[in-house]
Formats: sequence, C-alpha cells, structure tokens
Amino acid sequence: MGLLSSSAAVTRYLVNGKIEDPVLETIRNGLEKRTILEIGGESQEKAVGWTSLERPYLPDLSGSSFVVGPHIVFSLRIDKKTLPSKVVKMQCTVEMERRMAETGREFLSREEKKQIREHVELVLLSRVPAVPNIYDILWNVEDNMVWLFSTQGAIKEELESLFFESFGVSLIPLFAFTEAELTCGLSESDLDRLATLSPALFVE
Amino acid sequence: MIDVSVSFKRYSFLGLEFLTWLWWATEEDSEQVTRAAGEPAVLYVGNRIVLEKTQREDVERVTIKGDAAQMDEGILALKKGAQVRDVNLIMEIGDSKWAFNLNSETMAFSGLKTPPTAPVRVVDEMEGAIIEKAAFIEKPLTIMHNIFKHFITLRISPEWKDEVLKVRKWIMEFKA
Repeated sequence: MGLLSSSAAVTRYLVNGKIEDPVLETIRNGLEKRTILEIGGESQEKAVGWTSLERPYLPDLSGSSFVVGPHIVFSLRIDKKTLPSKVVKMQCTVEMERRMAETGREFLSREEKKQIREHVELVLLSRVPAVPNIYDILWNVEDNMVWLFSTQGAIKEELESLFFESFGVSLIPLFAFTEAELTCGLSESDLDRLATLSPALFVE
Repeated sequence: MIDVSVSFKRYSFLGLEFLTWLWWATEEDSEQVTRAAGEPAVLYVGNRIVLEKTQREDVERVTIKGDAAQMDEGILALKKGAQVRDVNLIMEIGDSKWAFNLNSETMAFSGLKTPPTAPVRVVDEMEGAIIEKAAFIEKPLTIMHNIFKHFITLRISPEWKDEVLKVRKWIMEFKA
C-alpha cells in the first residue's frame, strides 16, 4: 500500500510549525537521529524508526538521498515481534505443571503464575524474529504537508510521535474540521461561523 | 485553534455532510463540481457506498456495493435519515482515470488507483517513478481539497439553506 504500489492509502497531515533553517540539514539530522536500529535486547518487542524508501532493509539516510524532486521521501519502519497466544498458553501450562510437580503443590499463587508467564514470554521473544513493516512518507516542505501511506490508527500514532521527536514540530491530521480551519484560507469571521455550525437536516 | 481531538468528535457531522452533498452534486449539479474542482474533472460515485445513521447512542450502517441501479438502495437509506460515511469515487480527466475511497471521518483516501505508470526496472529509474507517481496521487488529493473548500465556503454562507433544500428535494422525490 506504499507510494509506488498499485493501490495506495493516504492520510494527510499539516506540519504545525516551522522547521529550523537550514531545512534540509534539520531534516537529515532528524532522520539520522531516529533511523531504525535492529532490535537489540532479546526481550525487546518492537523497534520504530525511519528508513529509506529505496532500501528499507539497509537504511541509509545520509546525504540527500531522501530528496526526490520537490519532495522529501522516506519511510517509517516498524519491526515487531508477535508471540502466538496459543504457544504462550501452552508453554505457560507446561511450566506451571512442571513447577507444581517439583514442589508437590496443587496450585500456584497469582504472583508465581505471573512470573512464569513473564519468563515464558522472555524466552519466546528471544527466539521469534521481528517482522518488519514499511510505511512510506512524502513530505512537501513548501506546502507544509505530509502524506502517510497508511490509514491505520496505530501507524498514525507512531508517525505523529516519531515525527515530533525527530523534527521538533507536530503533525495535525487533516479531517473535515481541521482541513476547513487550517487549509481553506477562511477569514476570522468565517472561522467564527465555522465554529458555531450545527448539523444540517437533509430530510425533514 | 480548537483542540484536535475535541474538534474531531464535535464536528464529525461536517465530513458526513460533505460526502452526502457531494453525492447529490455529482448526480444533479455536476457543473458545480467541475467548477469547484478547478480542472475539467468528471467525478462520479463508483461501486461502493457506506451510509450511517446515528440515533442517540446507536449507529446503523448500510454498505451498498454494485452498479448504479443498486445505488438506489442508498438513496432510500438517505430518505431514512442516513448520511454518507464512505464512498468510492471515480475521477476522470481526459483519458486518465482515478478511483479511490474517501472516508468522512478521517478524510483519508484508500484504495487509490492512479492511471498506469511505467514499471521500475532498475534503481536509476526510481526517482523518476516516484515523481511521476506522486504527481498522479497529488491530482485527486488537490481536486478533492478544492471541492471541499468550495463546500465549506458554501456551508458557512447564507446560500447553504437553499443548497440543503435542493439536496432534500433530490432525496425526497426519488422513486426506486
């Protein structure tokens, strides 16, 4: 569903603020600072960062590779380990049975069960590979517009948070009201009228 | 500026009204749509429309898929007070054709298909391909923004009352 795919999904944002001059250098620094790193610790479940659209698995955001014509183009990469719930359940059950057999008890405390679950998840996380997902981003600096090639709520949240951490400006999602308020060139009196609107009735 | 999460909920009716008005406009006043688009674009409803009716806390949704004849079901839903939540739109400019779904809540585009672009065979062709594809994607985004801007200007004007009457007439006089 990326920029170059045959069927795209696009969420539009307005950049809320001014990127520090020199703009390209600020963007490059932001991208490099938060370039995705491979999942390090064995218990780490998720890694989120920027990568390049052309080489998403070997990110290189140095130079001006992210400048494409009038656009800034890069990708958000989210590597995530997902534990199959049935495997976790099975391993927990096996471990709990073993613990009860060893201690000769018929039940375990809530705390013991919690510890077993945490241990099982830790062991499994070290064995499961992270699955990478790539979401393309196109930034038109002149118009202050960013397109995210996804409409998923969780991905939008990741982008909004990482974008602010990287570039020091926030993103405002454009839905009907924000598009009207911020991008339609309305005057002060128009904005007052907009704010006092109530739903219309198309049927009596 | 009103807090984004507050305005998202409080003014969610604007997106529903926009898509409902747009459906009427594409059927009954296509000249207005083309003027608002700012380009000689022809816009019409494609093969899917989702209607929503909120009554107190309950939300009823109806999804209609198929050709124009089946869209009659949608107008019957409008008659019962529903409004358009999602719509599949086709946009044509000359020989070029775009198709996309537009959501009233998020105003996000999905299933966006552009006119065909040349395949990327070598890495050196990537930059050109991105520029070409971005221009194709930008076209419906810009045109829909122009139409939305026209709608919102109308929506806050005294003329909106007459526009509502026209949409109401279209809905109420419709016979399946």
